[in-house]
Amino acid sequence: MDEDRAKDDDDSEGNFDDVNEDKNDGDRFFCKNPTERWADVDPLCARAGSGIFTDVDDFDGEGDGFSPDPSLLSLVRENIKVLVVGAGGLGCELLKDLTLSGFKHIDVIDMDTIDVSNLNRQFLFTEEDVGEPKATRAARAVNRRVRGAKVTGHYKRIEDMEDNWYRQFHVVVMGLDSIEARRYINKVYCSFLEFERESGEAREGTWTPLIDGGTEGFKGHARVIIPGKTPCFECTTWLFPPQTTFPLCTIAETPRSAAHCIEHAKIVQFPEEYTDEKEGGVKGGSGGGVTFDGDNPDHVTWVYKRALKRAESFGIPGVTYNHTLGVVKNIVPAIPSTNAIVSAYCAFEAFKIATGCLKSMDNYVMYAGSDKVYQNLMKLYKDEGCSQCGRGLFVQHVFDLEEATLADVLDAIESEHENTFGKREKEKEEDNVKKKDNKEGDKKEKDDMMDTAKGITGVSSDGATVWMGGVLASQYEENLSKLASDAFSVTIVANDDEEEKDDDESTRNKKTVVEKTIHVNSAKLPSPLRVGLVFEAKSRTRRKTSKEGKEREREREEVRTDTATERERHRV
Amino acid sequence: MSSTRYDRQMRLWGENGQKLLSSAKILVLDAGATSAEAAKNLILGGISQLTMCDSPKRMVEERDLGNNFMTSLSFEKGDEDEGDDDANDDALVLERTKRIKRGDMVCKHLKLLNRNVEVNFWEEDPREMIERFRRGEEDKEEDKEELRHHRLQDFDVILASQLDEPTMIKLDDICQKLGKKLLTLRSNGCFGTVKISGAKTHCVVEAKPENRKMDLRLSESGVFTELEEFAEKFEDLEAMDEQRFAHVPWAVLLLVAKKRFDEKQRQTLEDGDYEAQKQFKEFLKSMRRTKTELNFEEALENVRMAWQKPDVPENVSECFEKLPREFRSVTEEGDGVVMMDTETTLSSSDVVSITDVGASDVSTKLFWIFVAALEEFTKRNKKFLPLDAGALPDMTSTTDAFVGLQRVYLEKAQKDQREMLRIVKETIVPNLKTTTRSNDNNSTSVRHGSKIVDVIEKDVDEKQLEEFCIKFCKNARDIRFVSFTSLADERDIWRWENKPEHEGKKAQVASFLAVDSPQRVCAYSYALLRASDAFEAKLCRKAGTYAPEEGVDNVVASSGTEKGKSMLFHRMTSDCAELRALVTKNLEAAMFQSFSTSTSPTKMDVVEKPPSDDADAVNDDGGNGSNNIKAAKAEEAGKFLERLAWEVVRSQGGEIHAVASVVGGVASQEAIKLITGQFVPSHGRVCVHLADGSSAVLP
Repeated sequence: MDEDRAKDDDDSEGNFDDVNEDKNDGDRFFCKNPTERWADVDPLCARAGSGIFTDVDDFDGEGDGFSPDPSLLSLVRENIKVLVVGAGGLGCELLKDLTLSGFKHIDVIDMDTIDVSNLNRQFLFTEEDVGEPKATRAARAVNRRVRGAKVTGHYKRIEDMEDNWYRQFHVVVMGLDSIEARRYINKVYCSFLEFERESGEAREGTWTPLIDGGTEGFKGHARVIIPGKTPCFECTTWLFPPQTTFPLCTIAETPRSAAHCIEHAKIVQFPEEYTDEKEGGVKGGSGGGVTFDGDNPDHVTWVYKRALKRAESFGIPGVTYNHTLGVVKNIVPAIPSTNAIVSAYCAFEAFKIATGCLKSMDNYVMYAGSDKVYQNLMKLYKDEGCSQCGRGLFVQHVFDLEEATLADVLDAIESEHENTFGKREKEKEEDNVKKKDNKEGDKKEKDDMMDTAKGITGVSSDGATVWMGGVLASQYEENLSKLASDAFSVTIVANDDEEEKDDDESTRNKKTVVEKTIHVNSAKLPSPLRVGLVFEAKSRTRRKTSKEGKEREREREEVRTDTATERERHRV
Repeated sequence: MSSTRYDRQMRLWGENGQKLLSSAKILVLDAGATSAEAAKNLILGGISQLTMCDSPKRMVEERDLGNNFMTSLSFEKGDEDEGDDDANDDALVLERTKRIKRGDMVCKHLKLLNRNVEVNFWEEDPREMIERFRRGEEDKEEDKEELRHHRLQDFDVILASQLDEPTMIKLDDICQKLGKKLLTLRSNGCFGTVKISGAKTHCVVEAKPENRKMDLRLSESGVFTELEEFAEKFEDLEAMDEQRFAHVPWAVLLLVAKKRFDEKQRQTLEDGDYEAQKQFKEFLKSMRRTKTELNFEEALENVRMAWQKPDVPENVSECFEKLPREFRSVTEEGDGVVMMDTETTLSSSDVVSITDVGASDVSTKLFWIFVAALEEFTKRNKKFLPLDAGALPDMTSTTDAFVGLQRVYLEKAQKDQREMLRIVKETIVPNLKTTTRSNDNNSTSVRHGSKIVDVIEKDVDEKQLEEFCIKFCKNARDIRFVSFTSLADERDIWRWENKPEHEGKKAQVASFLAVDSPQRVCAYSYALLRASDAFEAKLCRKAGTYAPEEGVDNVVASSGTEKGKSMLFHRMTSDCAELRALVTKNLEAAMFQSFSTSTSPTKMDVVEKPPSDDADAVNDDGGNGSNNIKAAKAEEAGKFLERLAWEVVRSQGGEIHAVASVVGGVASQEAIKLITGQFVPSHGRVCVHLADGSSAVLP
């Protein structure tokens, strides 16, 4: 404490060290009357709703399925963990909005460092922060300002985090600028889904709500995704128009615009001709090893100069440094106001979900401010055959835990697929033929995309690849004869004093059947597919399990029960 | 540095927009969460100066620390803390923080956002300040010395947040007189709203719409001869090699093809006739060598361009209609061109003077001068607007052909710009100068007319005029005129007062309140916001709360105990009923009208019923079937209102940070549009409701 104080003397903003912050609960400052601080949001938690937003008809002031509780906000505060993906324009706003909505435990992940051009909207950073990691700086700034908040910053790529790390969060809010990153997060959380075998519904407690925001200039959107329940990101990729790319022949032979010349300098000239003076004349391109970096001013200047020269030779106007930067980095204009609007929508949705005080928005809201103000609440629809949030394939065959090999499982999957999807595929095919007339080009493109998406046949379990076909098939050939239960680390513990794998009532005592979800990617399947398998320990002997696997199982189980009870309590 | 810092926004509004922004001075009344959010966004954007007006008696409270990011616990030692260093430090920190003026703290944090922006704290209660200005500033006796340097007219835009309706109306009157734009903001529970008022109108040259309409001038021959000459170079398509053939720009292809088509086939068909287009399409297809030439594909997609008639878009003709009186007399006399009177039937009340449309600043005067010139230009050029060369889309082509085509369009655009400038100088200005007219019965308009001319002769030099001309011509298709309803008029509309000029807007409000209206939540929420203000004025407390003198501990009252629960329920139900009564008092007729028009527009008997506090009374009206439906709908509307009122009472009218952030974000977007003169600000009341994500722009 004294240390903090000493540092803070000069400025109320202070140099409050966040290491010390961990020791001290910032909420202590407000311990006398904690509700006073949250007097603006607390009534929503402590008072019953009218049902107007929940479609409950018999309003009697007693509630609408939501049970108000004066201690609800502090429960949420202590127990709910939020993940914020991205600490940029939206991320900064989100951290502010979430902490001021009463959330306490927040993790933020971002792989970027702070650039001067961020400062017009990423208000948690100052000139002094330029070059520092966004995630940790943002976390520190918010923790200082909103005492009691425990924001943890991760200067990491989203791909670097383990599945189990992602599993600890109850709500995820995305403030991203790339479709790829959104797809990744969507994929991670969809992969946690489990489905009821009978009803085909997503299993209670296996979904994590995802809230997604995005902006461009005066426009923005916010949406709520409950994987398995409402359309996921993959269900609605049509929302995002394809990126404008120029055909290579235009760039090379008949350039007509400044952008064409800039692209040529970047794509064609740079790899062939660029030499890095500083690195002692290292050549560009795959041979030389220098790849174009939009953040490197030397590279951008080089491209600008070449593009200008080219444009002049063709008589094309409009190549400026600024335009070059915009084209090579694919810069999207961004202003603080729009970020503020979109983030606040997202944060409030997170608050609604965590407390259950109001129904989630259904399910996509867009804001466009350039021509007057246009807002629209839209309902997007689920793609029932979605490769990410669909129930996928459920293999009816019950495998013997002790005998079934990977090859057996793969065979069963393929034949099951034939039975289930064969018909649907055929219908689609016919559909395509009909459309072929006018959409010839489109279809071909789509097919090409499908082929790459299919990729190499592979099987993954719990996010890790356990088997792969294709070029490396020979290497993995022997794996095919290995036990599937080992490959997928399926364990059955049939005992009374050890942890139980499955909570299902019917198997509680016997514990001989276990379900497992894996992901299969194969040329024979339309897209990567979720596959549900059932294993049975026919001999009913206890299998020895590795310590590691068991611990992981236990962790997962804890997280899941936590989430489930939380949800149970505050379910909308 | 600063251009890098603002790079991402300058890609939207350019250097000019940023220049205007960086000289803008903004006043924000109130230092609560909503104001702080709006101020934050504007400061980040790089305005010149922001002044925040807040009562010096308003200290930081705990709930500020829970909803306003521009507040924080203060670890700075105050003078009173001497020697108290170790004792009970947590409580001390909070106590010390609570001794700081809210405005002071918010301004301090705002300053940290952008060191290029000057942030000032104006220590005065906004309500008292408005009262003071309303009485007139010459009231010097009470005028405190330190307030004297703050003058409303020094600010470009004024934002006022969380003020009740009567106070805002007073402020609106002041702003109207000063010709200042006013943005009023409210966050109330999950509902938020922003409205522009003050100066009555706003003119936009650079509306920057997302989808610009192509203006290629392919349909009329004899207007754009340079293009026809250019196209002639491509007439011998048959002689071209494959490469060249597949790279004739589609605009040229259309011209060449249409010429051939006209000569050979189309004799009897009307222009733009569907059949003609169909035949032309076939004709175009027959010209292809293979079926894969991309330029032909593009031409086929754009066949309609060959018939696109010159037109004056609605937004432009609206500007013509609103052309101030001074110009009207000008154009009627000038050059024997008679306009308006034959085509447009305008009642004299619609024709206003330039002072009435808020033309106090140079750019607005220039705007109207050029609108007058534009109207003249369209007369002289077969309804064509000046060409915008930038609207030429990319097309499959060789570099030479496309660059050549671009040059043709550019030269034509420059020619049009020169013509516009000539019209301004040779027709509009001399006519505005004409001091006497035989049939002139309005000498003031003439005086204004010569005043407007001052702009060109004194305020702007030749170069600036030319620059404005180029900008205006490039955007001629998208110019906009936006007018705002004053807050007083808006109040009268929502009070359902009987004023003939409001009937149209009242009908719109009624449709927003209708049972099947998607904007119903926001429309009723706004009605409830007005009711909440009335409630607070009447009972001196917010709906859903306990007044301090009631001696009820808010915490106990909202605790989970049985006593607390029943107390709370009672309070909420009675406040809810009060709010509902306040809404129905004014809007009962509207609520009824809205559903009766949606079922059977002729039956107005229900509307004529005397207003009662209970909408359900309509139930008794029963009788024929349609009345039953109405009764059911009335009950539905009453129930809906009651439930929405419950949500208002539930939230205690709190200033929730997320709502404040949305409202602040919307307001700062609108402020930026007003300051930069780019993009189109909302003419109505923007409403958002975060409970269900719905929204509306009320008339």
